[in-house]
Amino acid sequence: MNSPGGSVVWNQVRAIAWAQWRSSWNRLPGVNKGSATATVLIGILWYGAIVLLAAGAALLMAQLGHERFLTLLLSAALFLMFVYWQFVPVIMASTGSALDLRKLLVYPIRQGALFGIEVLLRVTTGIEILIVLAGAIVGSLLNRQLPLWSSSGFVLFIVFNLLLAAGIRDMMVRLFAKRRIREVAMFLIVITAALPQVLLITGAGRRIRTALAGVPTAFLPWDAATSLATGRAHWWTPLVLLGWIGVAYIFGRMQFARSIVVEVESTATERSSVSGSQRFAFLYTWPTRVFSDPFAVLMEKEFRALSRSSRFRVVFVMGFTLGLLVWVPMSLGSSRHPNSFLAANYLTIVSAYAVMLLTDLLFFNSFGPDRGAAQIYFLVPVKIERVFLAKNAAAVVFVLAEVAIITVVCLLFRLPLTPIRFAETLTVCLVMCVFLLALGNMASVWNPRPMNMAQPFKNQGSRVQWMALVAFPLACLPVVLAYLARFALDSEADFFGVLAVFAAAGLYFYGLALETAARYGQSHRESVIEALSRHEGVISN
Amino acid sequence: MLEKRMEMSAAIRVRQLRKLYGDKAAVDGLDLTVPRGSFFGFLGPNGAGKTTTIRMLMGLAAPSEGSIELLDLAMPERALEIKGRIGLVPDESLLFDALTGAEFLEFVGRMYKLDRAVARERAGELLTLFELDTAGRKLIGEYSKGMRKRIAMSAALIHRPELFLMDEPFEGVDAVGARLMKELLIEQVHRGATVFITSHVLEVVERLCDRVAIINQGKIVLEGTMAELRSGSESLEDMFVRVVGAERVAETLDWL
Repeated sequence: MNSPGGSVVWNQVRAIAWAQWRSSWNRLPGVNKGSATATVLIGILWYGAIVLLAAGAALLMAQLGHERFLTLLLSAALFLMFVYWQFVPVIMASTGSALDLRKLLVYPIRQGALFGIEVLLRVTTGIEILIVLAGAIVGSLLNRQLPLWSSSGFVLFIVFNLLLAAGIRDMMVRLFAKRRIREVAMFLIVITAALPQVLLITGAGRRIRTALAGVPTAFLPWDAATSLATGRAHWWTPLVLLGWIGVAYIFGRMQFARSIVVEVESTATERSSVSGSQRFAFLYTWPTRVFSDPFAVLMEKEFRALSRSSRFRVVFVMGFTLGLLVWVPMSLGSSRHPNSFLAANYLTIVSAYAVMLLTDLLFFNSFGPDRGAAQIYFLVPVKIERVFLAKNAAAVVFVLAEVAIITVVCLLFRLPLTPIRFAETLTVCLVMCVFLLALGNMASVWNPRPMNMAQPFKNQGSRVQWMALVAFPLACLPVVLAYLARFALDSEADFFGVLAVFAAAGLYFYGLALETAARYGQSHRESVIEALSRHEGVISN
Repeated sequence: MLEKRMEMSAAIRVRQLRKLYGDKAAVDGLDLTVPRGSFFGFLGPNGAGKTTTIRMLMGLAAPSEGSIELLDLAMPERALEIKGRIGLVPDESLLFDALTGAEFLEFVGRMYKLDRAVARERAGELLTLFELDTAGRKLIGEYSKGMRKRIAMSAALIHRPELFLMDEPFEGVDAVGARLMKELLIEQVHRGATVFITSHVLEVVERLCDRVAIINQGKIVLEGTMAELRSGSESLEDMFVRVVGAERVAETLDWL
């Protein structure tokens, strides 16, 4: 017998949560112990730092009096948290965990219940913010000068962000389901996401602030939350926040309802005709004219498969759009320091950012895009080292293409660029590639993860993202040392000399890593294939 | 004497093959000889160890114990040589969704060391043969289950292998496609190739195979030629149900 109304919904929600928990739990025996240890260590480091920030927030709130400076600081901090929660997932092309609606829509579950879970899953993209705000709430509860209701400002701010994040995520997924407008939509969203940064750096923000000086800021969610949190709220301040929550709720529900339609209609992969791409077949087939099989055909396959996947295209386009939008104004925007490090090296910085975006797809999980089909590499009469080499060569070609496009865009916009700077960028990117490939080949067999390449955004939580962000600087350490050498010795020759030495060391390291990865991949082929063939639970990560 | 000759010309020779997952043996001391030029059916109930066995034969899983020889070459010592001479239909996940059917077949052909022009030509011919020529320019991700199976079958044929290892090759294929695939496989056997298939469809096995082995709980429980098996009064289905011990009639549930 079914229990009535709300308890049925609650039962279904619990069943979804339980199914997801079991899906994760049942996979644990197959998880590589080394990989799990690394994940835990990185998690402790990262979340340890966040907990320290939360402690700082608690201290600040516990001692908060009527200082105007602290109030301004809190308002700015809440604004930055809003930007982090809503826009960083877009910039990082990562939208956190989400319900796999295709698996759930066959059951008699109310849309409201699904939306509720979807909203709660937005915690996965803002967990750091929640920890810091939890600290702030504890601090405000300890502060005797503040009324008890003041912490409700933070709570309402969290609810608003969760609802808005759900709406933005569903809107992005829906927009990107339509292939023709996917790249355009991506470009527009990226520009929107980069706008605060651009305004801040170029000084345009100041002009806009002056123009909007007469507009009351008390109606902005972060200012309203600050007023409540500092105990200086008007009677209407909670209504302002509730109004924002209402708007975010309506937006979120509308987007969710639309994304359900899209998910029902969409298939697991893109529906695209490839007839148009035949005109550009030479872009895929040139390795055949240069190399012999199987190396050539493996490279060709990488070019075709990656360039047809929306996830790769989005990340590749972001490299030279967002990279230029964010870093060029930052590097060249300040007229006070025309010869600063940033201004002198903007091309390298933009290119390094592009390489960082490509890290997960091209370097650290190179079998991920193939998913279960990666087993073909173990079935055909080709050594696995060859497969690695071809995948690595294709990755380097994509990086070089990215650098070339960035350079052309810079030349078109007449940004200052000299041949030596171009050579520097190219050398730095290649040295980075050698180290990233060496680490990445091992990571690809050590911690393989299937990737849904039809989804333009990663559904990963911050764990995988931060692993890449920690590993990336490690791989870039030789480049940093080369820059330090140039700074200390003030010599271009020494800079390139250090890079050359590291390149040689890197190639040796690459050879060792390739051998290790191939041996590990061969001996652990069952677990590698099993991991890549794995299906997600009701919540995709 | 005949047995000795058959032993010498085996396409597959497996001795005391075991595969352990923790304490559980998925395959437990399997001995199997598949003569060259035979159409061999490998049957068993769900979870009996069929897929694990075929994955070990394909080199996708390492045996915990025992030895495997394919085409008189030892696995995994001569793995590269063996792989070049066998055709595989493991399951549909082998396919790259972001390639078209034509591109995938060319890719597989070249991986098997065919010249590019030859691989392309054969890919075109196979697409026509499997009535996929119009779908050849569509991404595999858009294919139906039956089309995916046909393209996987085409990929197994492209390098004209001596031994076919196929896991449920007819699953999800319509009657026309299945008939074509069966005819092709029979032709391959006639030219001297060996076909080793697993299937749940006993009628298919009964009609196609000349030898059959039934595996249950990781062990071979029955093996012989179809002629030997047919000599009794039982049908293959009755024999299968009897040897895997599934004769008990299912109880009905009160609430159903």
